[in-house]
Amino acid sequence: MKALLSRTLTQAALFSGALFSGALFSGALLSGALLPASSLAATGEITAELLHTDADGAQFGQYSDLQDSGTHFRGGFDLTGKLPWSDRGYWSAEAANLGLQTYDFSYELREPHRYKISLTLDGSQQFKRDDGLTPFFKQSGNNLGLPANWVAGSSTSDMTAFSSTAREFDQEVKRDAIFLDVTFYLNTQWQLDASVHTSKREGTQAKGAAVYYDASTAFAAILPVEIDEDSSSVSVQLNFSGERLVQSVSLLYSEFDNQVGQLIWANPYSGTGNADVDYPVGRASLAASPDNERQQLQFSGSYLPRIAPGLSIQWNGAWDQVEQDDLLAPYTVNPLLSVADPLPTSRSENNLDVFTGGMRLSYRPRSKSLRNLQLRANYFIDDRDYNKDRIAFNYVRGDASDQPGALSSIYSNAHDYQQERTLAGADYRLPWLRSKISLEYEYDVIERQNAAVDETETDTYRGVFRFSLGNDVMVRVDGSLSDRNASTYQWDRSFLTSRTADFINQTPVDQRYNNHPALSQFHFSDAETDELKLNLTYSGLSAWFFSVNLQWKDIDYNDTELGLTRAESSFYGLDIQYSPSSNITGYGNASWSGYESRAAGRSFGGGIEKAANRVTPPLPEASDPTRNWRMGNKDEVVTISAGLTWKISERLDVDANYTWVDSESSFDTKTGGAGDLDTTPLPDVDTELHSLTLSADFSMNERTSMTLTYQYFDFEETDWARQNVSYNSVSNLLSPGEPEADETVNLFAIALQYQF
Amino acid sequence: MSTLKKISCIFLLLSTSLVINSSSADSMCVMCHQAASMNTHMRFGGSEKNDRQPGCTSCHGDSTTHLSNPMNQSPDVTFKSVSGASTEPQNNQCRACHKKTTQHWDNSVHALEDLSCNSCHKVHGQKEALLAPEQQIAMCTNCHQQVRSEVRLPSHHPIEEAEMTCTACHNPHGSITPGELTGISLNDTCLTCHESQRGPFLFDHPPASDDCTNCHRPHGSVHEPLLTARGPQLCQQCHVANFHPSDLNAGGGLPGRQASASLLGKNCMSCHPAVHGSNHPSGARLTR
Repeated sequence: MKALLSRTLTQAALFSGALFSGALFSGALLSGALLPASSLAATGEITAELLHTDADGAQFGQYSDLQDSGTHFRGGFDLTGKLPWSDRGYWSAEAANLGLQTYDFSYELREPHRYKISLTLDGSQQFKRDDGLTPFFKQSGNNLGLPANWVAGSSTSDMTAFSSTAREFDQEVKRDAIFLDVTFYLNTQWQLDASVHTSKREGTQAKGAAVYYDASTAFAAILPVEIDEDSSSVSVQLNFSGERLVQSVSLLYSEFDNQVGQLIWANPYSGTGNADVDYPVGRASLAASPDNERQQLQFSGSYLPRIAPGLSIQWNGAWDQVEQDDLLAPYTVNPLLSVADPLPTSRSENNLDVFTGGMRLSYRPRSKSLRNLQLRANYFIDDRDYNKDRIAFNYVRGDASDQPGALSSIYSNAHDYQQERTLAGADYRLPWLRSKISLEYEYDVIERQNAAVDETETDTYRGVFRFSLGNDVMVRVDGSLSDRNASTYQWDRSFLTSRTADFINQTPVDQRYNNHPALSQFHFSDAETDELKLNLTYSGLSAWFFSVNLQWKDIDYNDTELGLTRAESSFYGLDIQYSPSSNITGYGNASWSGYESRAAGRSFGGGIEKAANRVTPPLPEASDPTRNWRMGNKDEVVTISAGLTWKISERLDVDANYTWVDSESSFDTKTGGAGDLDTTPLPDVDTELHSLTLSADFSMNERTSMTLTYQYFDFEETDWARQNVSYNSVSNLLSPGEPEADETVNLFAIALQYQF
Repeated sequence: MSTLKKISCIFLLLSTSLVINSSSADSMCVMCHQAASMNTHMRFGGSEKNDRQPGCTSCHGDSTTHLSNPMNQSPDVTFKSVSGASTEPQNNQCRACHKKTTQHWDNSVHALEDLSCNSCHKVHGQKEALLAPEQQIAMCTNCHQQVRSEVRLPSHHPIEEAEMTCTACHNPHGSITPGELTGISLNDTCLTCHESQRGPFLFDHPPASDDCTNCHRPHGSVHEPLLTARGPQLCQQCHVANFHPSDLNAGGGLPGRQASASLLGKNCMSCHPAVHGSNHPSGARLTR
């Protein structure tokens, strides 16, 4: 009770302070010598709202900062006033959600076509849960330690002190951002924009990490990892808007600064036979996202050539350079391990040069006979050049292993990428049914370096037909066929480019691969994609509006034996709206979505079992088709929503909205018959959301109104990844516990608005 | 409009000077169309154009025939939408001033669908309604129904909560970048907010640095965080290596049986957390 009262009073103080400061700030910026009092006059609206939620709700409050039960304050204002020194200029100040982490505040000074200055403060959050348990606590620097009375073990079920030593930790990340944007209109054609943005993102998230006893034996834990990241950017843009030519040039500099370095954490496991890394001396590490700097020069524009009426040319291009040169962490944080071969470099010097650009041409002939025709051409290029030395890292395989010989080094490779897309299209307005037909051909080629496939080429043919039946019916049919062809799949390339020559030479030829030779990674496999969309709207019945939307997409990875073999999605939606008068609108929408994917794999071990493509029995596992398996996953989602907006009288408006979202994910497996493959079915994963919002807005007088809001929110899930999962459910994964979401929140709110 | 009002309008117009310059014409418009004087171009109301703000005739044309015969003659340019008709004449009125914003309008998806500016924007009102996040989202999802359904899924960007809008990623006025994205590429758009994934990393994960949508469904998904499928199924679409990466992970890995770290916790990411890339010299397998 004390805590609730304290929190309520704190929030009230924060809100009052924010509201008062906001109003003062607006006036303060205008104040100065010799300004008449009337110059500070403002019009607008101020809102104060009191909310109460009767239960905690992680899903409910995920992004709204209303995850905790209790009373909350929220305020806002929308003010505007004339600038005292200009008859057309004005200032405006807007704020919302003051008192919550999701606050927004903006202040703007503007003289139309002279200048605009705006300051924006924006807060956001993502809340996951606050009841996860962890025995880890932050020691000095960025180290996570374990309590003195920790009981270690080779399995999580041996960690009997967990319950008595664990504490709850918030999985929540907040971001606070400030934007300052300035625009000067130098004259009717030239405009200069400048922006400064800065943001801070901080909080805690749950992240997996493992201690590796060797390359394949890991003991994992979900750790409470601190987030503390600063981002800032400065940009300047010069714009020219002429009668025919529009051109912008901009320079951007941005920085990402991770305030948190490498994480070192205490190993909670012991009894593994590796005393050097067991609890209490054992340590493992996790690298942080590196700092980076980015510089960009961008130009964009359009041109309407006088000599070719009807022709429009548009372009955009940007040169980017991204750099990071963080100091590298040591190979291992375990001082007892022998590391004879030092790091080949102290810094991770990685630069990325990117050129991205494109052009669009559009031509609409002006002659009477061809005026219904439009021709189009587009070109887009994305060229990424990773300037990175190919360096061999003799990395420590496990936290319990000495550094292996240099023969086992792994190379850090660059993966350059270049994409070019070219499109040609034509549109024609037909003389019947107010219709229009569009035909397009697109050619897309992607080249990759150090990937299993050097090049993919995709041909896409697309047609769209739109027509109307009278004034009441509009139909749109959109279909496309796409065929992607990949160059020869080099299944051994990843292995050959990452390993040393000595290692390759000592590896049998049919084991020189990272992923099975029969695998095709879907993002550059051969694939055929068919897509069809149908949209129909009908407004023939007075006050009624109907819209039907149907979509199907099928991607067939036709040459894939192992990997993703098929992906399909479909959508069926219906929207209805009823507005018998300007005072009342009812609406409803219903949809069904399906997403389906199928993948194939083959289960096999190492050593001799890794020999692939043998045909003579006894077949190694990698060559044995009875070890094949197939996994299908289907997500089906039904969404129904209905609502009403009704102006009952001059003084009373009511709104109601109900939304129901039901999802079901199912999994089915098949195997090739090998007896040790797991054929136990995976249960379905279900989620269900009910949300009902009722509000009534009552005008008490000319200036004051009151809004009453009630919201009911109910979310439930059945998820095998969270069902009965406690800290020791998995022997080699120390988990914070994963409860299934099951929350019901009732929100009551009363808001007062004052207009002046 | 009532008959009496119509008669009054005609009387007023006829009794006014027939030699009309644009400023005078603007002021005449509001004699009948009073509500239209409140518009987003003039913060404190008004109708007459000046050197920096448009008036009625700036968008609707001089409309002298309408002024002399308002009941039977429409203004030179009206903004009523007629399905199937080109919206170029109306849009060009707006684009005459809003050149920078609409520089990539031609060839854009919305232009090809014959959307007019006033399909989304309402000029006659004190404030542009689309500036309010909730209004913008409702406007976009009126047509983009599948997106409306996706943003309501359990794992989603904060669009339904109005903490983020469609225009955070998309430019409805057109963009050279496929998907009408605000960034210079898809990944660049995502990395505007998700800066920590920009790298470039010592050991990168090529499908992640190629295209975020190889693994993520940005509008919303059943699988956290915005994944097209959950792990290990997602990872095994591309990884079939010896030992555990090639194992079939089915119901035998659930609690009460041989509970498996590949299936529970963060699944593959329990041990391979650096899925976007690792800057650790021992992170070649994205384990650190």
